[in-house]
Formats: sequence, C-alpha cells, structure tokens
Amino acid sequence: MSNPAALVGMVNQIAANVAHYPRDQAVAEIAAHLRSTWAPSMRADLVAYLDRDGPDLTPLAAAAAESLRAATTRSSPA
Amino acid sequence: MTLLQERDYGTPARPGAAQVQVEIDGVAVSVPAGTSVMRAAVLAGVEIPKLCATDSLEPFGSCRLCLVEIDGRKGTPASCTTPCGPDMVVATQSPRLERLRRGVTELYLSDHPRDCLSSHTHGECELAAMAATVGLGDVRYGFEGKNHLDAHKDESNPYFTFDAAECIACSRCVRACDEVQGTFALTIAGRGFYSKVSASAGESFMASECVSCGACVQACPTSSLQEKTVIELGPPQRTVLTTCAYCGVGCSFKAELIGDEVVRMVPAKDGGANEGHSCVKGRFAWGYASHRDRQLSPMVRESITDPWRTVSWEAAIGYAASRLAAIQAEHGVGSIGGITSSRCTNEEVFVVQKMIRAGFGNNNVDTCARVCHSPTGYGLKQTMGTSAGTQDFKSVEQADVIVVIGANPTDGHPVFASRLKQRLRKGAELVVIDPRRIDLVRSPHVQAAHHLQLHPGTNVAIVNALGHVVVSEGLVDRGFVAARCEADSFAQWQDFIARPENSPEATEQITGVPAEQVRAAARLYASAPNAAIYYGLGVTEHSQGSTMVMGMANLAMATGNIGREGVGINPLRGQNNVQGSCDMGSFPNELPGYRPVGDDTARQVFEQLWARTLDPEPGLRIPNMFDAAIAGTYRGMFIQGEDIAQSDPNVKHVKAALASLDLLIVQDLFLNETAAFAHVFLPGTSFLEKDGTFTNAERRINRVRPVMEPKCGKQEWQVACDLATAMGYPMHYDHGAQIMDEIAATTPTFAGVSFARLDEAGSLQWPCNAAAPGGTPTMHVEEFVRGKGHFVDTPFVPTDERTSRKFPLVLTTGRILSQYNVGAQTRRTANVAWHGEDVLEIHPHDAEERGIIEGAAVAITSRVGQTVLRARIADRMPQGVVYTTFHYPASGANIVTTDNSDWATNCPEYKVTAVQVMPTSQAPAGDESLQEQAPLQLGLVPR
Repeated sequence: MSNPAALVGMVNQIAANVAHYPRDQAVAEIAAHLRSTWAPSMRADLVAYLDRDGPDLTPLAAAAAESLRAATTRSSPA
Repeated sequence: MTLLQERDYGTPARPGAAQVQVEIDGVAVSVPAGTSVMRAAVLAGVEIPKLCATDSLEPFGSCRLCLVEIDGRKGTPASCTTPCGPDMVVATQSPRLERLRRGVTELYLSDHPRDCLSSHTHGECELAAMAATVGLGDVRYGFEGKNHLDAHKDESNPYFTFDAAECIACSRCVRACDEVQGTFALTIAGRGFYSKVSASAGESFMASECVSCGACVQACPTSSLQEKTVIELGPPQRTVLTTCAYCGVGCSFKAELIGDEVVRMVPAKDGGANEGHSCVKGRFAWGYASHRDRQLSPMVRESITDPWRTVSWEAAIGYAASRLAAIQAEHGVGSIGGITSSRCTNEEVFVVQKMIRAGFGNNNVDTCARVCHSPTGYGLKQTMGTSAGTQDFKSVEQADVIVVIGANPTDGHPVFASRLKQRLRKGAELVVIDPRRIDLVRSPHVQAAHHLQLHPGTNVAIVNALGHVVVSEGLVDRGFVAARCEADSFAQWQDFIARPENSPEATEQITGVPAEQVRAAARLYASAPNAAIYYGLGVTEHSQGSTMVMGMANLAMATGNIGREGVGINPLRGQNNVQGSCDMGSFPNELPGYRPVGDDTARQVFEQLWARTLDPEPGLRIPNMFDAAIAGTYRGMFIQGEDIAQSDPNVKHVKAALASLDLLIVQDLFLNETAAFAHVFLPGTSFLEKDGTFTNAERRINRVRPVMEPKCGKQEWQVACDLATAMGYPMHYDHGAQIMDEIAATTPTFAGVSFARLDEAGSLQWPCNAAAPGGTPTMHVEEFVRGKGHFVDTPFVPTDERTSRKFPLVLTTGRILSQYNVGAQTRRTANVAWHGEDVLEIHPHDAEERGIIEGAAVAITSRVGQTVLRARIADRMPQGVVYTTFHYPASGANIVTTDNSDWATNCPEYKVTAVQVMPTSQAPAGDESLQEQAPLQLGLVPR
C-alpha cells in the first residue's frame, strides 16, 4: 500500500475544499475527482484503508471512499 | 542561412488606420498618420543616412545625419523627428544635404578610432558605414586635437565591454535602457565635449543598476558596446532563427554563428513574444551548452555507488529496456513510469509520453509542470474550458489596469516585465498582490496604485474579498455575465461571495490587508475599461492553488474582463515549455490536448494510430510515484531533463524514493543531483541542438532550430523511440516534423500546425485549426471554450502549515533574474557573477530580534528539515516572512519545504513553510548531506 497517511491527507484535503457543497454533491465531487485523477492502485488503497475503519478520514472523505467501494463492488464480476 | 540583417526603419511604426500620402525622391508612399519621414522613406525604398535613429526607439534627432529637404519648408529638418504631412514632397539627396552630411560625419570621425574606417571594427560600426555612404574617406582635421580616444574601457560586465573611445554619444544605449528595458540605469553625464555615457552615478556597468539585458549593446551603432564573444571570435557569418530555452516568455532569437560556433544570440525583432528584446539569460547565458561538465556519452552502472561505465547507445538502450521489462515482469505493468520535461521540445515530450502510454502500457507519466502550474491547468479548465492563458503578451498594451498576483516579472519573466513597464509608463494603473515588495511596486517611473501585502497562504481570502466588493458594490458586468456565463453557477457564486465572511473587513483578519485597500483595488479593477490579471507561482504553489486560479477566473468573468485585448487571465509560466509539455499529454490523467484518459473517443484516436490498447485509468502523479517507490510498488523510472532531487519539495523524501528504485534512467545535459541515484545516464541535447518547437505562456508555438548536430549523436526523441522499440513497441520518425504532424493529426487544437506552417508564419498560437487557421491570439472571444463561463465557489481553506512558537516565520521560495530554476544551466555561465549563492532575505526587525547581521550564517529549520544560508537584511520583506531561492544544490532550500500541496493537483506548497531562523556557527552548505552531487558523480565518470 502507498503511504496511507499521504492518501488520507490528500482525500481529507479534497473534502475540505468541496465541503461547502450540499453533502451529496460534495461526496460525488470527491469521488469524481478521485476517479479522474487518482491511479486505481491509490483508490484501492484508500478503500482498503476504509475497510480498516479509516480512522483518520473526515466524514465527507469517508463517504466518498465508501462510494468508490460501492462502485467497485457494483462493477466487479459476480 | 547567411547572416540575417533585419531592416531598420529608423523609427517605430505608428498604429492607426488614417493614412497620409507623401512623395519621397519621386516615389509616392502611403503611411499611417504620425509616421516619420525617415520610416516612410524606408517604406518607399529610400535609405536615409542615420546614426542616432533605430526603429526600436523613439526618434531623438541628435546626430543630424538624416536631414532632408521638404518642399515649402525652410531648412533641412531631421527626417527622424519630422512626421509625414499630407502630400508632403521630400528630397533626401541634394548637394546641400550631401555637404551637410559629410561635414557632420567628418566631425564624428575626428573623435573616433582611426582604424574604424579601414577595418570596420568587427564589421558592425554604423559610423564607418555612414562614412562610406556619404563618400568620406579621410578626415581633414586630423586626430591630434582634443579627443576621447584614450578614454577608459569598461570591461567589468562579463558579457560585453563599453569602449568610450568608440562612443559617439548618440544616446541610443541610454534610450534603449529607458524605453525598451525600463531600468533607467544609463545616462549621458556631462555636457558638450564632456558628454559621456554613464552607468548609474558614474559606476562601472557591473556595479551599476544595469541588468545586462543587452538592449544597449543591441542599440549601439558603433562597437562602443560590444559583446565580448564578438571581440574574441570575430563577426558572425550566418544566422539560425530559434527560441530561447529559459523562461516561459519564449523569446525568439537570432543565433549568430561562425560555422557551428555560436558568436552571440540576438533577440529577433519580429519575435512575437519579445519583439526584439531580451534578458541576461537568453541574450548571454548560453555557454552552458558547451560547458565541460556536459556528458556526451551514455553510461550505465549496476548500483548507484558504482563508477559509471561509458557504453554505446545500443548497449545503454538495451540495458535500460531489459531491466524495465524485467521489473514489469516481476512487479506488474504499473511498476514503471516516467517524467517529461518542460525544458524539452513538444516533439520530445510527445514521444516520451507516447513511449510510456503505448510502450510501457500505463499512464504513469507526469511532468515538472506538476510542481509549478498544474493548478493553472485545473482551474482554467474548470471555469473556461481550456488549460491555458487567455491572451498574447502584446495584449498588455491595451490594458488600463494591470493586476500582478504572486509573480515577480522583473526577475522571473523580465522581457514581459519590460513590456509591462512600458504600458505602465504610458498611464496604466498597477495593483500588486504579493507578500514581498517586489520591484514593480516602486521602480523608476513605475508606482503601484495599490500593493496588497498579504500574509503568505491567504490568496483565496483576498480574491474572495475582491469578488465581494465587485458584487456588493454593483460592479458586476451584468451584460457580459448574462450573455457569456452560466446563470446558475453565477447566481450560486454571487450568493457565496456576498456572504459577510468574504467581505474585506472580515478577511482583513486573515490576510493582514486593510479593508479599504482591498475595496479600492477592487473598484479600480472592476471599473477599468480593460483590466488584466497576470500571475505566477505565488498563486499556484499553495494548498489552494487551484482554488485561487478559479477565484481569479470568477473575478475576470464577473467584471467582463475576458475575450478581447487588454484583459484576461494570464499565467506567467516558469519554464520555456511548461505550456507545451502540458499540451502534449504529460499529465497522468490526460492525453495530448487535455483530453481525459477515460474519454473513449479521444483514447481511440491514439489507439488506432498507435496500434495499442491504452489504459483508460489515470496513472501516478510525481508525488504518488515517490510514495509508491518507497512502498515498493513503483520500481523503474525514466526522467527526462528534470532534477527532482533539487527542485522538488522535501528533498529527503524525494531522495529516499529515488534510492528505493530498482532502475532510474536520467536523460540530461549534466550529471545532476538526481543522476546520483541513476543506473542509466542518457545524454541529452541543448536547445542549440534541438529541432522542434516550444510553446510559451501565450500558447505561441515557436520553432527551435538546431545550430549544430546533437553533440551526443542523437536527438532526444530518437532516444525515446529507441527505448520504446527495444521494449517491443516500435517507434520511428525520420524527423521532428513528422512528430508534429502526428500531434496535429491527433490533437484538435494543433490541427493546423506543422513545421512548414511555422516556418511560413514565424509562430502560431493554438488553437490553430480549420476554425482558426492563423492561430488564436485571444481566447474566448465569442464564447468560452466550454460554452458558457462557469463560476466556482471558492471558500478559503487555510493551509495545514501553521506558524507556531517553535516555527514563527513563513518561508517562501522563488527565483531571481540572473539564475534559472535549479541553476543547472545558469550556474555554468558567467551569471554566477550576480548570484554566486542562495541567501535568505529577512526583514530588519526579524533579524534584529534574533541577533542576525548582514551576511551572517543562519540556520533555517522547518518541521521537515534544516539548512544553513547567509542572511541578507531586506526591508522588501514583510515582518514574519523570509525568502530564498533554490538555484544551488548545496543551499538545500527544498530540504526545508514540506509535502503540503494543492488539494486538486498536488502542486507543492513551496510558498508557505513555517520555519525558525537563528544564527549559527555552521557554514552555509556545510552539511555533508547537502553536498552537491554533480562533482561527486563526475568523479565516478571514466576519463
């Protein structure tokens, strides 16, 4: 896994900068940003961190990571 | 090409549609009103003798050689200072005029070195040429009278001499310094016979305020001011038109040569970016290209502690390819990647990103623009639809109010700064937003109307406050917004920006800028007929760099300052090809032309042409590569012309990452700091050897033409092709022009660009395609690239980097005029005479509190590291803020900077590092860990 502290710091920072939007929109903005600019390995590491409870993620960042996990689950073959 | 002699029209062109008809020596000519008789004559094909006139300067009328006769007028007026009148009839030749000119020329020659007539000193003395023109072969007065022939020769400047014996006191040098450069370092001291050119107050050129731009040397009609290389090597014999490889201004130059040896670089008059002007770097600091430190042979080694082994190109490429392939076989396709360079040509960058995407099979490609202007790309794309500045440089001539934010153009972009100052001297108003009192705030004949001296890290609070005033005081351009922008996003932004927390009174607590100053600046900007914003890395290199770019775009759109000359959002790009390297698909999430890798349509264009399936997912950014290297998932790297071990923040972290790699391939001119961690060194080419294009900050694509064959035997794009081919993905081009053809075929904004078109047009500004075959000087004229302008709410989110009792000061870093970036080029030139080491600038009060005196060694300590520099007490610094440059590896400026970065792009936050500064007994650069690696690496090179 890449440096979890760095990933968490980055996603929390993204969340802080879109926190002014309504919550659903903010979560969607963060997730879209991660999908368009983060390598899949980084997104996977973030989801893995979330799976370990993601203690240092802010609520918005955690929600965005959750939406990445949900999307991954949906797109995974059965 | 033989030596290119540009035509000198004697006086500048006058704008305007109104024409006047004149007849000169029987030739009728129509010219714009206000045109001088001298210029009209040249346009009519008639050359009038002259000495004090040249078309880069306003007429002066001192030499009295350009006299003419005008029907109906008495006397013999000077043609340079006489504007054409309706139906004027002018004679440039008559016995009286010939007599007068011979007499004047003879007087000049009587106080001029006598060998000038016989030898045409260096072939460039216009006085000697005029003597021949007027038929003067001898001087009746002799040379025994009182004269200046033994006058002192000033050789203090490393690049040019001033020989007063050859001076004719025509004032061209003085006027060039005033009118073109705007430094006002020269004057004519004394009167009559005792008149002489004086630098500052009678000092040597080197000790004076002269900034060595070369304008005076270029303007000098004799050889009084002469390049030392011309004195040493003789007059040049041929010209190659090319482009400077320093900053993002992208000046056009005439490389003047004897054979393949450069004698001098002279700024090209018809260069779109510079129009005949230059700075000390482009004009003079090109000697690094033949510096003894250059490495011209490929080298390899198993371990970074081993000596280098010189090998053939084939062996080096084969070694690199086999090890990259082995890494991928063991650790996966995504375990390797590379970085492109903003110093390289578009063609070289395009080929490297192609090698990575198609050859390596992933999108792990990033560029050094990551650490400078990546927020520009993000912010302008979000708001306006494309990742580029909106104007050409010439646009500033139409600006009424100019806002400079987080940029120091007189040091960083000096040729544009001269153009900017010309406009300011003609009456435009200036607002500077910067923690430091940069030169533009107050310099000769320039005085900023407002200097908003904000605390570092509070840009967004300031731009929000400016926006608040625009909205709350009814300064919105409602017509523009209604016609050109999204109604919904504007309404949302309007509500956001009108909130009390964005008022200047509220943000004053954050920024430290008095509310009234902010209100006045906002009114000035919003009320101007044309208001333009120019900005630099003081905007982008922050944790909210992207937000600030969007904030400026909001402001420009709300006030209607987009889509015509004189307005716009103008990033001043750091390196010569930052714009181009980004355009060429260097970002891990974007294909050439800024199209997302996830865009199936765009990706298929390349997949079809390249016959490879491309990865639809973004790759790693540079800081992600470092983290992945330390984590062991990223193990092989190709670095093209970038010294990340010096330029990137938190260097200890960078070096740890580099040391973790199984294979590092560095392509560069020199064994730089990064090469200390390399296993393969591939020699690169200097701009004098490259054959391609650079794209400057105004989206201007300029040709870079080789003046000599590559010293290392290959163009850099050939090396990337060879490496890709060796890895099983054949890539081949016969010429750089073919690469540009491929760029044009795949990238809509470049569709109309080719080497042939560039040779024909001189330069082209993208978009250049069927809709704009001549290029696009001004963007977003009818509509934004994205259609309607998009407003983005920009809440201020403070950086995590905070001052504290332990780290009470804020360090910002930047660059200075004489040095460039990591100094790899300029440190290997005589520019070290101006800046031999990096120093720490500190406010007198901060220094006094700490017992720091001028020149004392001080330890700068941040949360991540410590370095030692000498102190310079500088009242241009605000209290609480210190500043240094990063031109010398041993200075360790980036030992101190942190991993903090822009939230959207990861552009490092170089501009805000909390530090403590204290006196120390340690010598600067005394820490062994900061020792410059290049000499050590040179010791490992076989001789």
